[in-house]
Amino acid sequence: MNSEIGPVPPAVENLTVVIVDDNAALRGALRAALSAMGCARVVEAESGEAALNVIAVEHVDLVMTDWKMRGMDGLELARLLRADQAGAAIPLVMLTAYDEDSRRQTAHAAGVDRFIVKPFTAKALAYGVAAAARGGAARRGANARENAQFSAQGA
Amino acid sequence: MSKKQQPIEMITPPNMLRVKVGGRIGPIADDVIARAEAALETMQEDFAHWLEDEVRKLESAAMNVKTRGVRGEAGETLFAAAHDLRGLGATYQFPIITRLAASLCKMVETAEKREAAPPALALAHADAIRAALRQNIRDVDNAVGRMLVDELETRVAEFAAPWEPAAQPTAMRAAG
Repeated sequence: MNSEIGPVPPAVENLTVVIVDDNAALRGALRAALSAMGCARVVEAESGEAALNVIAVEHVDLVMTDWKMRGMDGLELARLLRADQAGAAIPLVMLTAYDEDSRRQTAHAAGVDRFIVKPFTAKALAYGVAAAARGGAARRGANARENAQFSAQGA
Repeated sequence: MSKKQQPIEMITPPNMLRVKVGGRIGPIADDVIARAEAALETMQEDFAHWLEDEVRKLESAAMNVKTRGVRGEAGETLFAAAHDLRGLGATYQFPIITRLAASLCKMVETAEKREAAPPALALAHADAIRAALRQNIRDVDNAVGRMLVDELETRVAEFAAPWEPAAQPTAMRAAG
């Protein structure tokens, strides 16, 4: 198993990413950076509600959300995503100007995989996306193994 | 076999947490980060326009605070504008604006603080942010910029001291 034998090469490229932020200019900067990193598709959403609408109809590899937004904020989005069967395993990055540890803990408790404090750098963005994507893939694998184990025990 | 000589079986349980979160990630190829940095670099002209828009939003919010005070909706709007600038300033090549906006956020981040916040100090932050942008003072390497940031941060620290964890009674800290 890869996670047991050492560092795993990160996968930033070929991801479909949804950026959720109510600031159009910042979405533009993030789109530029993520596209340049090699993300296959970057979809923009200006609120949590808009992001959920995208996730309901499209394949999404990763969601990157701001916390403080007009309408549904990032924390509520995280909670709804994790409560949803389709969204439960999607890697979630929170990119926010909040920098308090208590906020970080609240975000992780709500299901956020990686917490990046704005202002962001290209390096922080790349590692945050890679780590969240890696964590999401591992979580899906672990869930699948657990489900298979339950099925085998039930059979 | 005596009790001392009995073989000991070591059982190492699998690290399920590590399996679930995916373990450590290796280094990302330099060119991936370099491409992203280059993409952001090409947006510098856009950043200048976007920052101007954000500073105008802050100034508009500050004008409302001047006439209505920091409490209520005017104060919330001011916090939202400052919070956005705190997150954007350094990305848009003005780290000093991130510092100044963070100082303003610390002052007006909760309704309780906004009730007590002196409007003049909030307006001084908005003026300092405008001055930094107008005079192209990007960082605290600039002596005037550093003095301005230090002065405003000191005054906000004094104002916010009663809300710092160390100033709270033990019971409140435990509950919070």
